[in-house]
Amino acid sequence: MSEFEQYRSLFVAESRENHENLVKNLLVLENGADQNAIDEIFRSIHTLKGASASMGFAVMEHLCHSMEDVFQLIRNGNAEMSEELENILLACTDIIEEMLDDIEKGGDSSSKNPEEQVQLLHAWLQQRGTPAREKTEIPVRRDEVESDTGNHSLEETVAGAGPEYTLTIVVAPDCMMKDVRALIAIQNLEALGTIRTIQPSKEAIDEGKFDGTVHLSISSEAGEEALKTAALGTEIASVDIQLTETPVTPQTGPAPAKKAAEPDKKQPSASDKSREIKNLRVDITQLDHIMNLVEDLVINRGRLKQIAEEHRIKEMDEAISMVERSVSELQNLMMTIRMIPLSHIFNRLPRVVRDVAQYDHKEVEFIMEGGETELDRSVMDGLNDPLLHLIRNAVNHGIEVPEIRENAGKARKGTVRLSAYRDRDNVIIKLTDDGAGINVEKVKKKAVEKGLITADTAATMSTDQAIDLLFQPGFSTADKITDISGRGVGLDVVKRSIESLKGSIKVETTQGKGSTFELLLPPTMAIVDVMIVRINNRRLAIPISSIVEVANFKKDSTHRIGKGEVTTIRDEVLQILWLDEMVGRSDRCEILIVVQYQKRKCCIPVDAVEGQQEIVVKPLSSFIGTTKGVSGVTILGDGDVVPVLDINTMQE
Amino acid sequence: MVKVLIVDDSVFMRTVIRDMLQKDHSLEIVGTASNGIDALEKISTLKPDLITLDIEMPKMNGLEVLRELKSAAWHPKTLMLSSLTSEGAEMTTEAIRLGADDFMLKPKDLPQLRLIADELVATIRHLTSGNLTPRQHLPGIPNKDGSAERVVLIGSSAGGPPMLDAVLSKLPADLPAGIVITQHMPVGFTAPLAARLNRIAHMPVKETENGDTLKTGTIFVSKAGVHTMIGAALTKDGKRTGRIIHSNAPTIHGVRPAVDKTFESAAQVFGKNIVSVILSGMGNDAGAGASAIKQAGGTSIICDQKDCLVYGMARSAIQKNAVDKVLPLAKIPDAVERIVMQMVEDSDV
Repeated sequence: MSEFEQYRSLFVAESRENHENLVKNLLVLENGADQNAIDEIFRSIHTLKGASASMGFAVMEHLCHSMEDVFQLIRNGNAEMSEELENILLACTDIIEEMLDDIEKGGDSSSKNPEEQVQLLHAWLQQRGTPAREKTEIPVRRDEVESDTGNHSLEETVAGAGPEYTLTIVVAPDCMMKDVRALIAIQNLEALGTIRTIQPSKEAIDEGKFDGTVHLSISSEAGEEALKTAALGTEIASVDIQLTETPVTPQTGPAPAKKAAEPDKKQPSASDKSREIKNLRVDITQLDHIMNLVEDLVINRGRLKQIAEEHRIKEMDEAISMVERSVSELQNLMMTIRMIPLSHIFNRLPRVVRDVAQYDHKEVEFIMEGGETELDRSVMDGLNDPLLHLIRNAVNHGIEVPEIRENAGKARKGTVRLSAYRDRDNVIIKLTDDGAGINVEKVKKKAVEKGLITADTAATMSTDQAIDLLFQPGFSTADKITDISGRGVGLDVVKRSIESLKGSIKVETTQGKGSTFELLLPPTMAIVDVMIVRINNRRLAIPISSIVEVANFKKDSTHRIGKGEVTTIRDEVLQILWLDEMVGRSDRCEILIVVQYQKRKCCIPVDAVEGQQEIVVKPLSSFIGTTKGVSGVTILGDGDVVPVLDINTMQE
Repeated sequence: MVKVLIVDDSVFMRTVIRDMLQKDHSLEIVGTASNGIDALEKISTLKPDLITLDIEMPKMNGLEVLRELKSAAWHPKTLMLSSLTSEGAEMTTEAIRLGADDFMLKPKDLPQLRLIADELVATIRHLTSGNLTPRQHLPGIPNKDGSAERVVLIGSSAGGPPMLDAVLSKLPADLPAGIVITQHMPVGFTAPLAARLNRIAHMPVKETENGDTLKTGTIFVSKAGVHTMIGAALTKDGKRTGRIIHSNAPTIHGVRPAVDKTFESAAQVFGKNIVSVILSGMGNDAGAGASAIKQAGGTSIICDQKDCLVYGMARSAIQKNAVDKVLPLAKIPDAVERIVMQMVEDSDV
């Protein structure tokens, strides 16, 4: 069923968008009625339902159908949102998301059971006096009908079954042909079911022994209304009908359609067709591939340039500079194409805040700004989890419960503000809460208990250093591990994730006033501005973003402190990082590159600085693994493979 | 080439519909639109022969598009693609009232794709074939409002609606018989079908209601969700006629209304004064009904296989040896008329 499979990825992609839109607008509704949000929700559910029906994902369709019923009422103004309903609907969206995950993996949504939520929705609908719509009948159970041959006799044998009714038919007194009227009524009834008793009998009526009233009992499944219509006719004065009993009869309806087992199939490769004339959906793996090619082009451009310089071919040099311009433009364009607005991950966050706040019985106002700020997709991917963690922390650990806030003279409702903006070459994401702030003493105490530091060190520690403890592996100030935050992973994981994106994280906190977590991220990871340096005839690349300054190296100003060596630059004592292990000892070091990571500075002695260049960082292949101090390699124009230093990990 | 514009807010739907239509080489997809405003623009520039139209869309919905189209310079045929909900059914009725040419349900259960695609293509071809002449004169002129003493029964399922157009548009307004059509359809969608057929037939078409009396010159479409049965009734002046009874009995062959129910009950009431016609349809519904009609002395016609998208229902009648005539679609209206006139003669003698 390749036709079917080819739609799967398209279905999942579109449904995820609709799901996201659904959640976003449900949260909008929490702040009061909003017709636009209601319309959006309705349309999203409607499309989800339609598409899942088309794909034959019956369970998902069933759930979406019930949600649509609910929103139909709300959209028409016949009902209003309530907190209870909001919770049910959000739970439904969670199930939809799980279903989409299942479908993406090749399932058909039937492994998830939405029955509980569907029942709740139906209960809600019934409260409002609108009976839940019966599951709409499918006109022809195509697969079943085809195999139905010869089953007809089964239906005939059970046709007489059904609830039993007693009827009293009175023919109009002035009627000329009472017997005929009565017989027609009886004949019509016979077509609908089995007549059990009849008084007077048909024969008696036929012979004219009839006073105008017939009592009969009939068992039929046609329903009361049909029986009444069948008995009524011209000159029938009245028909009295009563249900006597409901015999337990075997269900005669067709067995529920058995879903043909969907054989496990490999997930199809995402479709590459153009869907729109103006907008193109492109598989991200293809973009990645193009990006790789552009990177190769950048490298080879450098190589060509070098060859032209070596051989001094003027025409070639000119031609290359033309190529160079195109390549730069192409490179810029590719970077822009890969940029997506932060709202892609931001949009999920209000839901997280809401859930955590509700779980903790806290009141939180969540403000998001700068969702339009763009980041490279690869950065975005890595950002999702750390951000989620920080937001959970902010609500869970930062914001206090309303009572405590009131006692502290703050508003009951805490504020968590997430903002993003572009600052020169970096994207800065700030998460600010007006909660309790970080209790530095508590942090120190905990660190001592955990054996991370000694009591003596704790006493002399600065606030900044103490806060750094939070990012140590195995540190958690939460008194107990909850569902919400601290699932065994701490801020150390956050820090590591951010660093792997070549970003950094900074914390500011004022006790009683709140904390701010600031993430500084490069908008893209692939292309980095570096300084090429030379030590012992080997070249290394140092990211410009880590470099503070370049200074002369005075060998006589070095001192030993313990195992390490330090030097002073403008009365500042800086640790010297010798790169002996990497490139071998050099005696001709004349220049110091001062690098900084967060607030810690140190310096690297090098022989010479070759220049500054934009390079493409290629990650080390997996069998080399992660190497401390090296974030990847780059290939320079002359074909030389040069390691790119990673200052963050180098200092540890 | 028939130029088609697909209007739907879902990329997924647009892709599915486009792929279905692309299989037919007589159709050319000239474009897609994701909302009503977009659609109107593209209609005026691309001048499609037909648009498939979704109802729920942002900015401007399908019904508004239909309203706008009334005053537009270019008038494509419109095929509504409706979703299977009662709201969808109401909207569809409204759409037909606003001038939409036909409707189909949105593709459901993609594994059945081939059949749905065939049906969609057949419907589009039918709509754009130019054979569709709107009724020339007002309905009901020759309607004598007499109770029907004869009845024409039509059973139809998948692939049937375009054939109904062909048959009803040829039946004369003064046909001395009542007509009951039992078309398999989801709940709610027989009302728009009746509204649509009402524009094409020479007599008024309505959805059945419990207790309706069969009248000459009136066409009934069995309401979906219940079985339409024909009960006996006597008129004031003692003439025997039929009455619609809606039965809630369980589905037969997985369907309600079932053609068998209508045919079998009518056989009891009208006996030899019945002509039954079985059109395209899947499954075995109609076989037992046709058999009952034949036994009661009525005439049973089935449509030739080459004109049917699906031949299941007609085949079930053949298997029961309950067929008098096998006719191409185009010959069915004449044959029905002739047989009805023969019945009139016979009863006059």
